[in-house]
Amino acid sequence: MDCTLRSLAPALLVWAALLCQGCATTQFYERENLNDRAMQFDQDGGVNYVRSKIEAAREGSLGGFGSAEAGGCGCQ
Amino acid sequence: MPVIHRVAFGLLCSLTCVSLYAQHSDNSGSLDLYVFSQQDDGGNPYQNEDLLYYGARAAARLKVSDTLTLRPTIGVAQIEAGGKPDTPSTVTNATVTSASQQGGASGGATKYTPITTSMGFDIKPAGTKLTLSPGFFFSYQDNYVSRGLDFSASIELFNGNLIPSLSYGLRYDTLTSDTIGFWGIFGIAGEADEGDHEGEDEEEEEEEEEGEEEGARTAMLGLRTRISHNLQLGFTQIISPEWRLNASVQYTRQDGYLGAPNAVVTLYDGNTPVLLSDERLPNYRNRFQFNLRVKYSPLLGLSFGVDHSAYFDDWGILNLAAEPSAEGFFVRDIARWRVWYRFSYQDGTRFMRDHPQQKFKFQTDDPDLGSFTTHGGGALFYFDVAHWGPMHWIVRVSGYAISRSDGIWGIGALLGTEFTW
Repeated sequence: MDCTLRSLAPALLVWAALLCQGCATTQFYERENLNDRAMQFDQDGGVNYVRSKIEAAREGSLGGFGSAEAGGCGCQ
Repeated sequence: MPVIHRVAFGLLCSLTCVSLYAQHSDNSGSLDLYVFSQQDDGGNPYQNEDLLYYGARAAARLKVSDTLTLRPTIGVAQIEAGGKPDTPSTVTNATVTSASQQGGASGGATKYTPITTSMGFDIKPAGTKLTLSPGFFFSYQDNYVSRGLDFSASIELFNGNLIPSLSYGLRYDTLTSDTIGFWGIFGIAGEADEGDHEGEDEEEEEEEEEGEEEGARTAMLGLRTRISHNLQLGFTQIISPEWRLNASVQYTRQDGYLGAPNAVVTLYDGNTPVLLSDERLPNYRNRFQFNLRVKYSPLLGLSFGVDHSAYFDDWGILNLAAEPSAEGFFVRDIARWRVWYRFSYQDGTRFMRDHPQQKFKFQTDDPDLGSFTTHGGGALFYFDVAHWGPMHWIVRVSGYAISRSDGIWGIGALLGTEFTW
């Protein structure tokens, strides 16, 4: 357990540091690039749906990078 | 055509039409056609992972009011699984267990027609930065029914710079080696006994007993159930005017029958296959996954991203994946592209063994639970074909491929159209 905690500690520190960035506000008028379609996560629902079916079925993992999955249809 | 398939086809058409003619802003309706062909050129010669998977999916996003948005989807697919490989001649009838008796004859392909539908609601209470998203899910195919409830909540903090989110999903599945039937949708058809899979003392050899084999065979003919809970915590963070980050951690707990009906494990005497035995897996599974996604935009309309995931579970599977991607445009706001490459490494479950010489309490030959590396990639082209006032007609074309180190590979394509207004 100690070994696991030690190995996770750097990742947790990075996440905590990034979370603290919430205090450094990017103003609305600075978000032109961020609001573009290219900067959105999971913008193409149809493609993501098919990819999640294929990748989740071909691996023993949950698949994807953050979309909640809790079991599913038999096509997997 | 079975009644449920006719109903699904009707809903698919209706959803497409409704989404096209709804009169609100911030709406979209899409229809995607896709195909994926998988070949099995290696691995276990007594397992055939050939597969042809094709289907259609309609989805819509309909803003009913400033408070409520609906997100219905429906999909119909056809799965044509490859035929079972010939039973090795060294496996005699006298040594075949119930597994292969239930598995059907060699050579014949198996077809399934899964129908999946869901409805999500985005509720934004007036005067708040909160979004509540309840939803439900239903999927049916001949030997598998899944029902689900979903809920997620997110809130915009620091002027939208930080969006923490929480989501929970519940799935209640019913599966069988035969056909679910109409009443099976409601879980009515005699529950299978899962008592012989209790506990997790996986390295013990199990004694062959006549009564136990008969019990396993009876269970294969009944309905099996599976319950899955998925909890996810995450956040999306604007780091700077060019950087965006998303991170999440998710935990899934599954209980019930976690194998595949008719799945078998080949047992050997030395290198000679002598017995086809039932797949046996624990009746619970704890699964954890961390995700980290980063996107960077050096120029308006151009972005580079990297997605990562780290997964492990109590069956001994470890999976690490990374996916760099890039997105840009040929003609701004009219023709865009996106490309990605995905690499994953998987360390397989301890229940999978190379040339097992005996029957174990827990055993599987499922290649997807094994050890391998995967290379995958694809491209998406996205065209804003025409617009009439606020309505835009979009066409997208995508191609993708995967190749696994155990000889399984596949290619696929998608053609989709979408209207936004």
